[in-house]
Amino acid sequence: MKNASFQTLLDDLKISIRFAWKNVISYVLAIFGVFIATFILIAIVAAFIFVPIFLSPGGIEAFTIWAEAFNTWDTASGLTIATGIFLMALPFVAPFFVATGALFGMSREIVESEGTSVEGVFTWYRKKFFSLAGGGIMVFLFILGPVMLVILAGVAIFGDQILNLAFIGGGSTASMNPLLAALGVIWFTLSSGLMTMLFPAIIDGYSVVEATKRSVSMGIKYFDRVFGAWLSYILLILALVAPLIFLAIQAPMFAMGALEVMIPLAVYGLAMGLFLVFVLLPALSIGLTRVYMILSADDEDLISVEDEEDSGPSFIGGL
Amino acid sequence: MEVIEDKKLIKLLMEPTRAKIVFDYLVKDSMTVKQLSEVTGKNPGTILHHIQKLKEVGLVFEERTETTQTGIVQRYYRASAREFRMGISEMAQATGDDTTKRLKSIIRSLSVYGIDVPEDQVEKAMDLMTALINRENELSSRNLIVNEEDYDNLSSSVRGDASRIMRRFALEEDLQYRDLRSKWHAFLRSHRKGV
Repeated sequence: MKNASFQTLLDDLKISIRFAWKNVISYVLAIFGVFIATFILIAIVAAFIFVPIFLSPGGIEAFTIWAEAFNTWDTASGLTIATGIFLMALPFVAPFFVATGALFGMSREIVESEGTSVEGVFTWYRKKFFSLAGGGIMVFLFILGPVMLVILAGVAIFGDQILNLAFIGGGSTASMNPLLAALGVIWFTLSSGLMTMLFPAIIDGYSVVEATKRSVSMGIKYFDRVFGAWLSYILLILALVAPLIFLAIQAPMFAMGALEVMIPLAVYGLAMGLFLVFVLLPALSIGLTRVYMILSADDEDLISVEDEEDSGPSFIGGL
Repeated sequence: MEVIEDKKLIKLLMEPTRAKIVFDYLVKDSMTVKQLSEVTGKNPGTILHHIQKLKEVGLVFEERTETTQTGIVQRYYRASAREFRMGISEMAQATGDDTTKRLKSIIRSLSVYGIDVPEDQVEKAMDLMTALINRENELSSRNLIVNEEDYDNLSSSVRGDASRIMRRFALEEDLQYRDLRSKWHAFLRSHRKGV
């Protein structure tokens, strides 16, 4: 039950999509509610960061100079700016992860009891806010942190010219070295796969550090099941997005604005977008939660117990 | 039987739904969130939050996990003891006036059985009752089982009956308990109507 087979992965997908579809109204309302709360929170975070910048000596001019640095970045200043963006992004990504984590709470209710409610998402949002925010920062650092460290170490050891190897060409025509791009994809898949059990573990009551350890160890111990489930959702998303990418690449071949191409494209894009956000994202959280619950149970606990107890009335009264 | 003396745990169990989950259901049998949700009439999310709190403090544990035909992964939760009792003095410390009020109302309620305790005697009645309950808790929390393995194989109803017989026997054997009980009974007798 804990190991992956084609049938298990197919069942994971089918069951999670079925439950997501069954609870689609709850998820739609919850996603709207929770993401509105998230945008408000991000606006507050932004106000805390940018208002002092505008009010500081130099004010808007200093901020403009900082912003203009993006246009003139060379490898050295680019690196500094990239590090700055990386650190500045943390308070902005955390609220998104809290919102996503709260959806995992709803999914936990579905996986354990077949039902959930819209207000459930806000309870998880409120009760697990700091753990989920911490979890989000952990995911962000776990995936992007090593990449930043490798770049910084590379620059420290070999100098700025090491970054020239990462890109082919120059200026606006610069594209990433295919070898590095491939390594990047592998690292992203591996690191994000190892983090898939983090939110289900936080929802299960573990601290951020404990949940991270659990997620990584499950990813290693049950590599086939964890990565099988994760990749099947990624592939499903890619399969849905593929027609749009294909048409976007082929677009120059069509007369731009041709209605016979644009209308089906827009209709498909809209339908797919709605399906991705309101069905596939919840299904992903249901699927991963389900895998977590199966994997986190002790092996002997997963054996179906027929039952041990004959119940009946008590003959001897209380004291 | 486990006597709960930790004030934090007592406070946690003062919440009616949590108390119901533990004392009415999980001490008797293992149940899923769905089943608890059905019997308590609360939504699964609320039950899950309560279960997590109870799990954190060790009052409840996961007994087993079952996957169903529909794809649900059911976790069966169970109380960590077959029976819980709360320490009276710790309960009074944790909840303040609530415990005192409850004890007073218990004593006043004895009037329906013909035992009228005058207001100036209520304090004495409370002291006697508290001492008796404390001793009872102390004795009942001792492990009387000599064969744990065989005990685990008993059905829950047989286990409950056998446990009550042996706890009653252990109480009768204790001199201090017998002394406290005679004082309490003498107090009740002296306030019985028509005596």
